[in-house]
Amino acid sequence: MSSDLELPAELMSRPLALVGLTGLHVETNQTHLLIWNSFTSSNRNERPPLNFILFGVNHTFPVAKPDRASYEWYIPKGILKRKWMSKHLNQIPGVLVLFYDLEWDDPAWKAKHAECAHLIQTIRMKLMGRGTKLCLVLLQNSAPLPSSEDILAADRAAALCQVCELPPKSLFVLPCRSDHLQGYTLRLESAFYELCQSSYHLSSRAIRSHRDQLNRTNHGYLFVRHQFKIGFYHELKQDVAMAHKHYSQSYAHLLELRITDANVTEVKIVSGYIGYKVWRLSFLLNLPREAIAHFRSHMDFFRLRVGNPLSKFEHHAWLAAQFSTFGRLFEDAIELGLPAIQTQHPGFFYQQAAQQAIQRKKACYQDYAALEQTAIDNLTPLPFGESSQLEFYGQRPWRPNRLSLEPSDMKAENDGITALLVRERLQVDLTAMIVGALTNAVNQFKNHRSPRMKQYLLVQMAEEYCRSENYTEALTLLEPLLWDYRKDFWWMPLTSLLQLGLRCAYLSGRPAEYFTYAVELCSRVTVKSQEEKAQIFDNLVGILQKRIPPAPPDSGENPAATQLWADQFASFAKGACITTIVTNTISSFVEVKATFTGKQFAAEDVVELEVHVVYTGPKPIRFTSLHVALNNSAYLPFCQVKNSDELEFEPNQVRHYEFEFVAQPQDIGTELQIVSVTFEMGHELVAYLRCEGSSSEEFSSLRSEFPSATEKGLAGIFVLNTTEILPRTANVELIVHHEAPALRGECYPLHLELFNRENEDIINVTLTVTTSSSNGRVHDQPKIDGNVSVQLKNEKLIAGQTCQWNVFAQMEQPGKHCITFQVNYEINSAAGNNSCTYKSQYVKTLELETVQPVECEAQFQTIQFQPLRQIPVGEQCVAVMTVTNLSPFPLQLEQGVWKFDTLLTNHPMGNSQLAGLVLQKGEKANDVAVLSLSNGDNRHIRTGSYTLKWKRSNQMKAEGYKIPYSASSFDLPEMETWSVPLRIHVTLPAHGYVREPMNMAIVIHNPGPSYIELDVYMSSNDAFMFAGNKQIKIQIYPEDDYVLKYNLYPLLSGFVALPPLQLKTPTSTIDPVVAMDQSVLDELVSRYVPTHIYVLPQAKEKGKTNLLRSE
Amino acid sequence: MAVCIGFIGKENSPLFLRCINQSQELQFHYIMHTCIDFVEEKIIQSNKSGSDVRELYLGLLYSSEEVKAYGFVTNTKIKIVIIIDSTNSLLRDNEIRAIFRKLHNAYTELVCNPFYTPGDPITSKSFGALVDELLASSS
Repeated sequence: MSSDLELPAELMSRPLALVGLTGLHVETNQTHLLIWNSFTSSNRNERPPLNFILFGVNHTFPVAKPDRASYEWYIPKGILKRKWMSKHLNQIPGVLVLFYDLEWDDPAWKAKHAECAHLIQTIRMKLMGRGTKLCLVLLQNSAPLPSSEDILAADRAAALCQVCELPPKSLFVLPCRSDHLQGYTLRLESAFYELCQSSYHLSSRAIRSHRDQLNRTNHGYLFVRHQFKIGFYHELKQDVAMAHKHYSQSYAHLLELRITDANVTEVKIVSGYIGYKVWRLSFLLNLPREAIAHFRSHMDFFRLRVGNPLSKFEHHAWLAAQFSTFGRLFEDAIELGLPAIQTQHPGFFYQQAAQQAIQRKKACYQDYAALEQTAIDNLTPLPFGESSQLEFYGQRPWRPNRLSLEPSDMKAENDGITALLVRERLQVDLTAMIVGALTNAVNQFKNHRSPRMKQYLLVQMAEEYCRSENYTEALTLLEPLLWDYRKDFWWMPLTSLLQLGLRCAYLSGRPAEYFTYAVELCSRVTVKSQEEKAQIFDNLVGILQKRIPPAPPDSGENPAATQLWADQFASFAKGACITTIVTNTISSFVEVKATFTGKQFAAEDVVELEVHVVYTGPKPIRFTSLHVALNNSAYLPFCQVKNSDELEFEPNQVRHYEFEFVAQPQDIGTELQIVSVTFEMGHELVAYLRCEGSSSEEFSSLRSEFPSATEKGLAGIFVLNTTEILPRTANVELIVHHEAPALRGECYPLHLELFNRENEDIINVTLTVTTSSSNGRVHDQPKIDGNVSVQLKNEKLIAGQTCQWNVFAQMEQPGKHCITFQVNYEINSAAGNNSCTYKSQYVKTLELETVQPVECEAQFQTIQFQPLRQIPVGEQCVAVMTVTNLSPFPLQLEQGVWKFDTLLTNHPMGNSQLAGLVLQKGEKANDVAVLSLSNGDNRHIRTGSYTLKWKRSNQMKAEGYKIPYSASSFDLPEMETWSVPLRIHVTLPAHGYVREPMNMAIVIHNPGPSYIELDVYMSSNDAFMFAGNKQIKIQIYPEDDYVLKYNLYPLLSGFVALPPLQLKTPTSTIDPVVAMDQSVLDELVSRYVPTHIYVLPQAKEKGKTNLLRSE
Repeated sequence: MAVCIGFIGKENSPLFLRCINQSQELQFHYIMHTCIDFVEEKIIQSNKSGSDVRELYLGLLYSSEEVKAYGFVTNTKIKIVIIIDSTNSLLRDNEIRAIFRKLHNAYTELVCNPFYTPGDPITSKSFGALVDELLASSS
């Protein structure tokens, strides 16, 4: 029956309407070959769903059985006939087409049309009793005329139809010489397709008509069969919905059958076939839920119908086939665009298929084991033919065509099934089936976001490999799975997997794997009793002594495995390493934390390292050695324990190991890292348990996910797996003497004193002074053009001595500046046992406040020291610089240097007035320069700059060096120049006496290029009487003068006001250009003309008048 | 009938598992482990829907030929799974909800115990007895 389990090809293929072509002599006639090719050529997809078969003219079709007049006495012998489907797919066409070469105007028309009629008749006879439709296609060379015009053609066609007894619609003409042959065949095809549909429709009607003659008691099988056939006809005519309906009915009829032990196999097989059609069409009609529901009820109905107890394996095989078939249908539907979800996808069905396959194997092995050897020996090898030769699907070869109701021959039945069982056990590769189904399921679950379900399936696959003694595959699968379950702490599955691994390793003779699994099984987390763990522990210790472990309890003595182990042991030399286990990725029985005691160690200090170990194995253990590997292997000798007394552990014992060593000079400034901690076990053979990692987290052995260590002893031990080796701590002191604050721009002396507090002499001392700010400079000489840093050296400094340097800093900006002093030196020192040269470093930072030393303020004034807003052209004026000492120290000024614009002529004044002056804090000094502006228009000019050279006055007594003066430069303000339109010069005595006349001359000069006309008014006042022009109109030509002369007679003494002079532009002036603004005139007057004069009283004898006046 | 009840921690480690038939415990461990797939998917789905208040009861996780698994996730991401024999159609949805509610209460009480560290495997006897009772009453 196993061959019936697989679905027959005719069931699985998509049924296509069959069209038979006859009358084409393909071998001899080129035109016929062309026509045949045009039907069968490519791109079938876009053409009507037809299958063409070429029949010879003399082909004999399967003979139809005569129609039964009555079903009354007919009892069917089976449900579905094996040949029926393929017969209709490949042998009995829905339409048979006869091709015949005949022109309408053929000279031998009479003879040919008779022959044609004869051929049609013959074929019709051959297909008697079938619903096949006949067609006639005339192959003509001449191009067709429109039918209405070709009267001959119309007549002859009608005649031909009549003689052939064909409806006019079944007669076609194919112009085979045409270029458009493909087009004609396409049209023919659609005509054939229509005919096929009606042909199959008729056939299905014919079957339906039998229904009335059937009765339920005897013809249950026929109900099923007829509905199936109708469904199949509908499928042939591509009516999917109707096909689905009839298949469903067929299936429903099947469930109504009386199922006995005798027919249960047949019913199951057929139900699978019909079910297949129903599910497939459901998916095709986009009814996936219906398909799944139908399949589920199908499974529910048949799940427990085993039949003969011996054929349990067959039942599971059938179930597995059902699940896998449905899974594949589902998968196909998904490929065509059906969306699947995580909880409903083919994987579940494949999984069940695998499950049933496992059951099948189990049942098969059990039942086979239960057979008596004699029964097997006596069995003639399959005393019957293959089931595929039987008339009906799913029947027993030893009981063909027997009615299910007949009492069965129990002996033959049992023998038959036994024979099948033997064949199944010995010839069928059940493992491949299980693994295949599991692989399908794994792929599906992987696609549907179910990684853990996938893991579970892989576990089952590994178990199956183990059962089928394919240990290599099993172990390969196992390795990643262990990690999957371990990382989420699923200890019970992990234990079972380890157990499986142990078993595989034992049976395939692999000491390394066996040892690894055993180590993990002995750990605290596995779900095993202490006794079992103790047993495993003994085995693993035994391996190191070349003792073959005992077989797992559930498998008996296995000489092959024992031999493998013996061979393995023989291949190991004494002391060979069998395996190295990385313990921090598994849950092993030693848990390790290794840490440095500090984040940093100085070079001369002793580096301390601690290793904490918890042993959680079931029995006492004695390790051979313990090594701690650092990233520099030179320390290895310091970091190992070789005394195995110290390496003896009781279960759950915690031990701490401390290691000390001195860092090597080349490691100074680098990081030391713990790379691994390794335990060595055994003497005869050796195994290493290694805890390794590159970061502290990884290295804490327990990978945070493993909570194991938290409970015992190691909790709260913080792991530092790296430490930094710092340069030796320096023991020197640097003292900086200086007078803060520094002044901006000055050459600021720093007196450095380095004191050696070491016990030894230090050599190669270098001092590097660096300023942090970009505006700072340092120099080792009293100069002001230093660099950012300067280096000072001293060969040797004896212990307890000092050495001194001077450094000069210059800060260009006020504010805080940092200066860093870095002292590097070497020292020979005995650290630990050996003397060694160490480099040491001492760093000191000085924060230096810098202030502004002086402030300079410039002002331009008239020669009379009146402030000027503009510099007049052609006149003398003065620049006054006020220098203020802002610093807290007295400043000595060397000189102030004026630098004027080229337009300004400086009248040199010999030495700078400031030279040698000392300004105390807050004091001010003025420097004056006389200058004149030679020419110029009204515009802005840069007047120039002023540079002051200064230094601290109290720095004279510095030690052996001379501080240079610093220069501070200031810009003079920008000024406007002013070309004066009128120049007035007043000649007046320095003072007058009361009642003594004095002369005043007012000279008005016109410096400009144009003629000037002015009204001059001289008003009188109380203090003076005067003689001269009181009001006059004057004209001055360019470069000319006008002199006004007055005789003043003072009346009052004291600082009295002179008679005010007033200039006005005449109102009558015609030329407006010449006219000057009144305000300008007023300003000129106020600038040049003195307003007051001292008038002294008369001498004593002349005092009478004074007295008189006062009276 | 409920055949197995399991508690899974927020990092997907098993906290507690109790089943009626002790001999199947290993198999239920495997099945419980596979349930995490479906629970995680459901949580992602409910997060996508964006509602603030998440329904703790996740409903049917998946059903196979043998078993049906129902899930529940507390706000602290503790997953509770009830596994039911597929042949049992008597247990209704709201009854399962009721069992989950009782289990949730039992867990809450357990966490209130200062001697229990959340995240550790549950060893409390009274908690075990309560789960046993629920298993027995629902079968």
